[in-house]
Amino acid sequence: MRKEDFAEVLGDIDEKYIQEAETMRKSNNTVWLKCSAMVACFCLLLATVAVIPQLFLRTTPIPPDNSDVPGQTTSDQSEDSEQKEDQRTPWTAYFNEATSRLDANRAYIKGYFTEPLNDTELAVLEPEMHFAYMNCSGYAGFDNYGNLLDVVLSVTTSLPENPVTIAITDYSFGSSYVLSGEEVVSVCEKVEYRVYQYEVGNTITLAADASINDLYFHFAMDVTSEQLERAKADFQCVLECFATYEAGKPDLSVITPEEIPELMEQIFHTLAEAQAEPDFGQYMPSALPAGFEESTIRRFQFQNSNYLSGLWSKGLDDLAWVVSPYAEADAHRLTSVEDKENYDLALYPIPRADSVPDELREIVDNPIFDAEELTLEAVYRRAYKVNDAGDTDGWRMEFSVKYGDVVVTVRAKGVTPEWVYQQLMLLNTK
Amino acid sequence: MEDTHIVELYWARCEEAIAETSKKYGKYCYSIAFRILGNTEDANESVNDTYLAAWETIPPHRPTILSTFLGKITRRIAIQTWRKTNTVKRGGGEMVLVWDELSDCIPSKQTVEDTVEAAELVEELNIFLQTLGEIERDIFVGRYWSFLSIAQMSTVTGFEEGRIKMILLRTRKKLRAHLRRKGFIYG
Repeated sequence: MRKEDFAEVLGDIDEKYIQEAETMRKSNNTVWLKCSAMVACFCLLLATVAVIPQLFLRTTPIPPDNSDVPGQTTSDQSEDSEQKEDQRTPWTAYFNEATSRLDANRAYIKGYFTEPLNDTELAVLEPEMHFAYMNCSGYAGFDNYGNLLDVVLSVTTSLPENPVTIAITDYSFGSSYVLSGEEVVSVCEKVEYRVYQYEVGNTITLAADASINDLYFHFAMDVTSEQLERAKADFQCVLECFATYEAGKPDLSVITPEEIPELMEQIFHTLAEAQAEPDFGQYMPSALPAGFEESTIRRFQFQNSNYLSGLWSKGLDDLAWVVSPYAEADAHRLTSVEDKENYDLALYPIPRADSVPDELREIVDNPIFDAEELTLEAVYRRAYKVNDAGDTDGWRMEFSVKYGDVVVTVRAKGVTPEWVYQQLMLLNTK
Repeated sequence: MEDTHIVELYWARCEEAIAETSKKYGKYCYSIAFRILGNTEDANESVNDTYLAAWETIPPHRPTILSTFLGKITRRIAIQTWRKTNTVKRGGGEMVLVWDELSDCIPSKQTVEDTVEAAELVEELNIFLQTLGEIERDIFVGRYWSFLSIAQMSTVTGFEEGRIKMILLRTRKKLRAHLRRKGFIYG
């Protein structure tokens, strides 16, 4: 059937429905607002009588069919589930105001790696219901045996710069929020959403947690106060889409790694051993400052990590020397010694959080000099001393030097700028 | 003038019927036509054709609800005009968007053309509308019968546009499922 034909057939629907809709429009907002107000009052009454005590007790979850919380779906008592669905009124997510969020991070898993989701994998995860502006991308996280640990989706919204990030796991991270009031659970399509809103600096984060088909979902969206109302509407739409996985639990078995990256880890016990390491050993210091002892020297290579690092200490002083490949992602930290605003710490008094402009923060924190340009004066401009009770008052410094396609990063406390400069200059001869 | 009096004028073959129709329902018919066609000239022409069609069909018809009777005629004429003039190339109006939205719900070609009369489809649409809640039904009819824009629906209902879109999306999904169950859509 052609679209035009269908449009014409639609024109012949029962006149009572047309009149009903026109009555609604003629009365403009009045009828709707009255309806909304009545529904809201009714829901509030029911919530007070039936639901709020349960929320206070919080001993059992709200039964899926009990959707009389403010902003919840409603359903009739019909046995016909389809009929039930049709009788639901639109739901509203209740944003619990949180004063802060307590994160419970997963333990570090050595060998954890990620891969972008391909189209087949995305098709499994995307809900059937979605808006034209909702595009999904994301990655899957695996352990070093290739077992799927988690999935992170990024779903675009009508605010192009503000996607909703969705973490999907088969275990709960156990995030919790400090709320300014009692928690209200929002129910959409029988899915219980705990929806939150909290503010950090100029950013407002909208967040939601839910268990859907035995998977844990955490939704998050960062917005500004100007975007808040629109963002809330979009956020609610995304929640509703994910509440309607019609095929049930997504078949996560299709998400498999294309290649398990090789994990290489090697521990060296002496500087001499590290200097013999074939990839980066030649960029290690030729000797240690007086009194410094070997602590940890490690060669590590995995998906996004590739470095040889040494950490030595003397009392409260320490020296970290990290050798890694130069990456394009580092390009924005490259500086000439002529551009002192990029690295001269004398220009930026402590606290530097206040004195360093936002646009220079990364480069001032850790600039990368070209090895052939580096001067002792530049190293001195990176070094500073502080009187910190309980700590040593030696020189402190952090910066990097680029030798061709290799970068050496130095973090030091209690080591003189002359010693650091001398060691870095020696590398130029290799 | 009361609708019954206007209908009586038609039955009496009194040309004042058209003047009264225009006075009472001219804007209403124009708004339907304009939303479909998206330009004043074609919309005005469709409204004039509506009056002519009403003159030719009353009698023998005696519409019980004159507004929807006229609205249906206007809607049909405007769609036919759209098809003739391929107005989409000149901007189109809301109809292009509406069709795109409904594309998933359009019955399979072979089914309708070979075995099912449009009347059966209308009957199924009425059954489907009956199953909807009032809010969903009014929003669905407002969008797909009256071609109101999402922004207009938002103004009328007081709901945010995102919510309107969500309701429409959900309703279309239900319609597709309904038509599939009834054999109008394969796959």
